[in-house]
Amino acid sequence: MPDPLRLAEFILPAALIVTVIALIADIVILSTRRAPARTREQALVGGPADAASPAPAPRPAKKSGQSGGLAAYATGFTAIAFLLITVYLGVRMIVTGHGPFANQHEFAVSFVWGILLAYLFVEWKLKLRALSVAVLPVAACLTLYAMRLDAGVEPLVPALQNNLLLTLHVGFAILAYGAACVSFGAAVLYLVAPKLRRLKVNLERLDEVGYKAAVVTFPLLTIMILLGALWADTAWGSYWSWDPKETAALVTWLIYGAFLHARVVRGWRGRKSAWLLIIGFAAILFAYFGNNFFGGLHSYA
Amino acid sequence: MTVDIRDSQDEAAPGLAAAEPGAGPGPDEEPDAAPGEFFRRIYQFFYSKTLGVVTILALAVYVLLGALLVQAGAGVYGDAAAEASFVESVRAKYGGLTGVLNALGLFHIFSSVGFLVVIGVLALSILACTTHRLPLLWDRFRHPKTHPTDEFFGRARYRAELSVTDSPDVAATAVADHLKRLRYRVLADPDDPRSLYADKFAWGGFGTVAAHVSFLIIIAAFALSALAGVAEVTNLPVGGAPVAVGHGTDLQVQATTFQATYDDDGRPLDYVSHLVVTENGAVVKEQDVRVNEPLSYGGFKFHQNSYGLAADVQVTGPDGSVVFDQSVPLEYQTSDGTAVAGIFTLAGPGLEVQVILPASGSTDSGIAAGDAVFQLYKTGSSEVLDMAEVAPGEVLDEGDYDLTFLRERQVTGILVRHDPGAPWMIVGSILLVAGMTVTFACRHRRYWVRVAGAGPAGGAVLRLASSDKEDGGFRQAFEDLAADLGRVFAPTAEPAEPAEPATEPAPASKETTHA
Repeated sequence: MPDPLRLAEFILPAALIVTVIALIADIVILSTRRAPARTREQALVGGPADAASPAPAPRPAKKSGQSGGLAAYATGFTAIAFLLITVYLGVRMIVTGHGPFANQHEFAVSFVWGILLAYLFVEWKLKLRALSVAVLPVAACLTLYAMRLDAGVEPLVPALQNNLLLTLHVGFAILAYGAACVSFGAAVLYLVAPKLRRLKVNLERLDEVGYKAAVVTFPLLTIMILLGALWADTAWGSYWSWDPKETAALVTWLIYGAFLHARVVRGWRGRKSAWLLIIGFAAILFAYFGNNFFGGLHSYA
Repeated sequence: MTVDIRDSQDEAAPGLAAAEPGAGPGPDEEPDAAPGEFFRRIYQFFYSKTLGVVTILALAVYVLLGALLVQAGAGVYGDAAAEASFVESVRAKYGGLTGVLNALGLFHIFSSVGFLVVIGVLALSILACTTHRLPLLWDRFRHPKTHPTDEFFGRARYRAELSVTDSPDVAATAVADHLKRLRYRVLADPDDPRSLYADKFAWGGFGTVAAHVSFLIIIAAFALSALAGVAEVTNLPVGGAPVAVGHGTDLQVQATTFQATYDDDGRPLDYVSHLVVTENGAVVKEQDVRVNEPLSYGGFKFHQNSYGLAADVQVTGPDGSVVFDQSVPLEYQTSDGTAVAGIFTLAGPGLEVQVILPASGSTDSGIAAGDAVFQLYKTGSSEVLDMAEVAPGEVLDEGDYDLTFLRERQVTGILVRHDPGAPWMIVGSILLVAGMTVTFACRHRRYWVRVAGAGPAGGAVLRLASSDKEDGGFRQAFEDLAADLGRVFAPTAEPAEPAEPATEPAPASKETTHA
């Protein structure tokens, strides 16, 4: 009988290829479509009452038959990449008997899964295909990174032998990181779109999506950190040890907290807001890759 | 009396406030909460939203530095020699910056004065913001303003108009009934029977209060843990005598077994100690303690922390009585890694004794397998008084004292912990998540409706408005509600001609030209 893990090794390159194809299709669609038209909503709902307010966000334009067909392929390829990653993680879960979060390789693949899930949700819900230009490259790079790591299955070290908290703690991290990547993608696009004449996107929608994704990210990060503290209290005998990894997670949480406060109570929008979201995602990557140089209590991860 | 709708917290709706510079205080305007001018200004400083954001960012920078820079272990900065040794050890890494970083307290950031000041300012900021917001939220919750000016309906950020053929009175009743069916709280306008106020999740704002208060609870939990908590690693000799827990208890803990399991490649699979806790000599609890399965009893927790070797040593005094009979944990390692050592002192003769054994698997230590070396110093001196290798059971005669190495024994390191802050940490965490959930999922939605005559064919004109912040989600909800109300009066309802805004429409900003 073939080793399921050896078979699963072919899934990641396939997922990477499919992701890149989806990205190329999205780029073609975005670079050839016309500017979105305004809708009649303004006839019903009053426009902004002050000069500082943005215009209402227009709906996406109707697509031509050609780009509509390509759009279906682009979305389909992204969904296939997501399914391939899901299958890969499922195989590892079945083989290892625990969530696919036990080492850098597994977490990198799970990170990709979270990113694709968040992106597909946003594309389905908001029809904001332009996000793919910024989000899918992150997913592709992380897949490539995961493929370069040791994919061997090793037993869980004693500290990780808590299936419930391992699944919950890291599971929330994956969802948070996926949402954060979407907010990062929206922020990057917000900053670069004005410089790319062929990329026709509504900046206000990007600003709004970046904010909404951060609104999702922040509570998920909070729950992730609190579950980590609860677990640390059980496993290490201290709910907080200023371990470098948990300290980096706190930095991330503070940045997203600052973003939400700046946005909600100080009215930060636009470029300043976008930069904070980029810094927030950089902090997430720092916390994630930090394992390579931090050491500390999370050094096994 | 009429009041204009303005929102002291709603900085995203400045157009309304700016349009009426001479208007009196708004319904949500803050009360004068502090008695004196001086304290009022201090209070204002702390509830400043800018201070809050700046403090959060400052804390983020501090914490980031804590993750990037090498941090000294606990207790290093309370011991001058240890501090000097630590600073020297990091000098190779930080070079000329070492002195500056040390002076700024950046090698022990999380106990440094600067960090504690930032935490303190953040706590005060949260406290001031919360106490400042509470009356406003309560006022909105209990006494929302129900009568905006007519002008408000023409200038509000979100506004819509519907022309219907029903009479104004019938239309007003239909709207109120429909909003009630949608589970809105509907309040009549006492000044105008054809106006009404409707809202949902009026209590949603209290979620923010809960989230912010939870942060204060978590900070307090940290302080309580640091000031009143107990956390010390006790090396229990496996199969040895019970060890007193101390700290005002009559508890004793004993490790009867310890097992470390590894896979074929030497990776750890399990560490498990069987602990027995006794109180006044009676066994009160026992269990296998693993990394994820601590033993809890009497407010104390016993965590599997480490393991190692110990040397059982017995010392008899001049009269032949036993003055020392313990397992000495071999906590130190020689620089070449070939031997491990433990230290104990004998107060009577003023001796410090090092017991040295070969490290596990080492054959290069110069000590025969199974033997131990006693190395004796006068307390406080580095001069060796005596040194001898002894076999198990062999006695080293040191004047009036006889030192006997009995055997090598395994020890299990158990973290004994009593943390009065931990329950508060859990309370704060639950409140934080609950507060956030309410804040983000149950946003307060406010609508004002006014019905006037002079619609087409003598019908009514429904005017719907809200002054909330610019928000795509709320805009959608507003549009949905407006469309929903349109359906209530279908097929007669028609969107009114787009009313000319009282102010000039916002010019397309540079940022929206790509739209």
